[in-house]
Amino acid sequence: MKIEKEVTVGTEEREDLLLTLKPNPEGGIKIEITGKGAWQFGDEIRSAVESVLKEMGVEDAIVEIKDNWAFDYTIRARTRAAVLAAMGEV
Amino acid sequence: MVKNAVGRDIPEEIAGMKLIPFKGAFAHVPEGRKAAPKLGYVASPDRRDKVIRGIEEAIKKVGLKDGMTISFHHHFRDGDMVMNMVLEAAMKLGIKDLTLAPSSTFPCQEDTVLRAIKTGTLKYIEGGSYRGKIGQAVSSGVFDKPVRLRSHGGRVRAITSGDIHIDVAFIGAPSSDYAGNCNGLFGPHACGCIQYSVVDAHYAEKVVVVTNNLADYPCTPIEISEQYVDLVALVDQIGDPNKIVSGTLRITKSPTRLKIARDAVKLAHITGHIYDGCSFQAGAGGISLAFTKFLGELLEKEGYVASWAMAGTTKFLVDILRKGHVKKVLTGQAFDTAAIESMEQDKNHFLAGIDHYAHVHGKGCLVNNLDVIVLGATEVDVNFNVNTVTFSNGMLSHPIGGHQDTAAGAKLTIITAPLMRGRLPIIVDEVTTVTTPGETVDAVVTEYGIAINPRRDDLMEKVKGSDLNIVDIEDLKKLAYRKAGIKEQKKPDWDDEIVALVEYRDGTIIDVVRKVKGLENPLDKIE
Amino acid sequence: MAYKLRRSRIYVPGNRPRMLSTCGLFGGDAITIDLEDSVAPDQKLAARWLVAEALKELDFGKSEITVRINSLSTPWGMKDLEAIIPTKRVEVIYLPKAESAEDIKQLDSVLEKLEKENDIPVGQTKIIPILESAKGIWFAYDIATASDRVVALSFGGEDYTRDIGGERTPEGTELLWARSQLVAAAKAAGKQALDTVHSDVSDLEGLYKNAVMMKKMGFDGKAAIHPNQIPVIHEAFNPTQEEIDYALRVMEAIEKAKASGSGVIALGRKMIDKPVAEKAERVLMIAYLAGMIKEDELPESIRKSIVKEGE
Repeated sequence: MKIEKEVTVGTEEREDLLLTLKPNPEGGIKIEITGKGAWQFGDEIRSAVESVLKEMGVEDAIVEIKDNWAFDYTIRARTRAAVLAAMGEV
Repeated sequence: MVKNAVGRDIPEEIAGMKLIPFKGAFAHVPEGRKAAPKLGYVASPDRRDKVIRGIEEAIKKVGLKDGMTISFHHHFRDGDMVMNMVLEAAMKLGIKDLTLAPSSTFPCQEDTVLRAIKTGTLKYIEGGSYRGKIGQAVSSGVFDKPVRLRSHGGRVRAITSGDIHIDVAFIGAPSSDYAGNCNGLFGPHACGCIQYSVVDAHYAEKVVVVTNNLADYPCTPIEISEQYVDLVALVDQIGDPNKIVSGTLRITKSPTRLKIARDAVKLAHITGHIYDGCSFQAGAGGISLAFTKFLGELLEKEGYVASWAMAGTTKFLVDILRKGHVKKVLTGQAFDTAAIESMEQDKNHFLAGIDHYAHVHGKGCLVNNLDVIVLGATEVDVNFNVNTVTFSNGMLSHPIGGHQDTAAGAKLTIITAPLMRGRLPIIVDEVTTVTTPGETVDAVVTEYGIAINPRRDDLMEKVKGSDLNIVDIEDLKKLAYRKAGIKEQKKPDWDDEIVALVEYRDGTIIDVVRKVKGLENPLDKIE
Repeated sequence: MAYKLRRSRIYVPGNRPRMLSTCGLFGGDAITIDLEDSVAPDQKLAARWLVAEALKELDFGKSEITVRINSLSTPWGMKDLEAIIPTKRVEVIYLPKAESAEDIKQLDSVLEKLEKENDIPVGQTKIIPILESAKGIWFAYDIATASDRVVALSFGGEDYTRDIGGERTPEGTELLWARSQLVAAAKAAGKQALDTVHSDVSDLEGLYKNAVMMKKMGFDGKAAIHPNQIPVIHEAFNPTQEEIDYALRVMEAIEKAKASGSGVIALGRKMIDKPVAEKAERVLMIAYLAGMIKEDELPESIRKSIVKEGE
């Protein structure tokens, strides 16, 4: 499934993240992580995003994350919401 | 390398200094005598000859030269102007290679200190707080020998033993007379007291009192007497009154932190450490301030009168004093205007010297007589060791403060902390840096439960049958890791080079801090 | 007689991860995770999935797990249910703006479908309608009896006041009849009655006074919007020591009468009839569930019914 539009989900509050999902013209999944938990939890954040994208069949997308100590369940939730929003759901 | 008593590797020697590894909280017996400055001399009793206008003139007259060690207190906190003033003047006069030995540093001093390092005016920082950009600079390897982190008591020990040799102590005093008798209680920039500088005054070769308020002779109360003072420098401002003390301190609103504070009071009460005649240290921020408030409420509810309290004084403690639920308050530092007012007006409110408070190589100290202390932590491990000085990536973050001293002395030492800081577990397998050894820590109170150090089976007995949520510290750690979604801690991002030694209050080395890989040196941003 | 303690429920905004993580710590009898009024329309999607993930992941302590979904007449309500029911962690659905038995029957059939699809025993998910309009209050009894899933009626005071064109007052006179009607309808249907929020979070004394009054009016609990309100609400709704002592004496008198085969039960000079006996049982059950008395202090007849509930 291709991501056709850019969406941002999440808030800047503690234990949350700002997740921006964009189309990737070059193809494939590209994940960029910045913010508070980037050094400590970069691997975990990446896995959480990848697992949801895989489950939802997203193969081409850019994901930009600004983390504020979000737990995995929040990362998974925001990723799913972003994909659904990009597909036009409310 | 030698393993010390908390299992950390300590080099036997570094940068030409021999190191003694930490042996245990009360194991090391000191040798030697106190250091002392030269005997004083007054050429003629000309009453006004100590007074000098302007900090630059004072620096020239006192003979500040390249390579000397200068010291400051931190009673003006983030409103301090004295340190910046002296460093700017030293930079202007082209003085080089000074060692800065403050009792702590604050954000308002960061830029000036970094500039002074960049220009070569400052070569080294001896103790103080390595936080913010200064911490980052040290962690990026700015100095060519490691710095030393010390507790309040540890700094007193280092000065009295001669480990720190202060050439000139600059003492910001809200009130001083022409001879140098001075205090922190009165004046437009009053801060309550200047007790942190008393040991500097007694042991420094030269003492410059910096004031903007000349009082009548003799200026009372006399916190530092003229016997120790070489010059009285008159300046326009010594601090920003809005930042020296707070107008109104409020307790935390966080329901989690309030819960932790309440549970800590309950634990102290159930284990028999809050009773009619007990003693406690009052906190000034976060959970410890809330603890003070709830403790006051408990004293009132039970009709207890504590025999004394020491502080970190705030309105909350003053209220307890004025309501008659503590007999005496001893203050080493004032945090708000209510504290200053009480120090002036209440006859059962006294000063406490930092040496009397925490110096381990004296014949007794106040912390040894405390029933209960509540302390924070950046990390606590399953052996109850506490870290207060580094972040989990290994960068220097905060000072030691009175942590080691009070933990060692108090009958009940409670660490209060939320289980996590954001996603970061606070309860971990091994702390990044050992600041306070687990043998001096009795309990950890989090919002998910209270862990009691197995060394204290007397406490375990006392909490049986209570409705406190007592848990194993291992289980707290497992819960923290599970919530964080990790199986094990990430090791700090360290190079081999040691940038800081963490001294225990007795001068032995309890841990080392290394250079953080790839960390930007804040000095690079300065022209 | 089984009894579920619902003295307090704490509202948690559904799009705030930090509040979701901590809400189970404060000892509320229930948490109500909100997808409705505390979530802005452009955040409904994000909140829905955050709540679904949170339900799977988080530990809410001993609190009953409830969710206030969006009304089924909005584009969001159905989607909320489709996301959260499959987590198998939702105990109660709070249905906002309930105005008729049909509203309840509609929710009931959606729940049945989702329970069947997800291997959840049919009927396990309960419903608590929120009556927050003139219609809702007017048809309270029909709503209460519309489904076995309905375990309580709850009151939304702010929206009700607006709907009737009234004004909030400190005395609450504008809500008096609505509250009384709700309680009567709920109790006639054998369900609980739950009162609305006290919005001034710093006014704990006012909250306590109000909660005590609500208990006297027959309510079983009240909503909270801040953890500090929970212990205050519990204290107001807990039985007093006098009530507990009296209830124990009543039960003792009943036991004695049973043992001696007497048909008439008396305590001193007072006759103990069915309402008195039922109240005594309820007081002791609440006292036990609230941790005020231990299981072995309960009369055997009540202890037996606890065991039954647990099975």
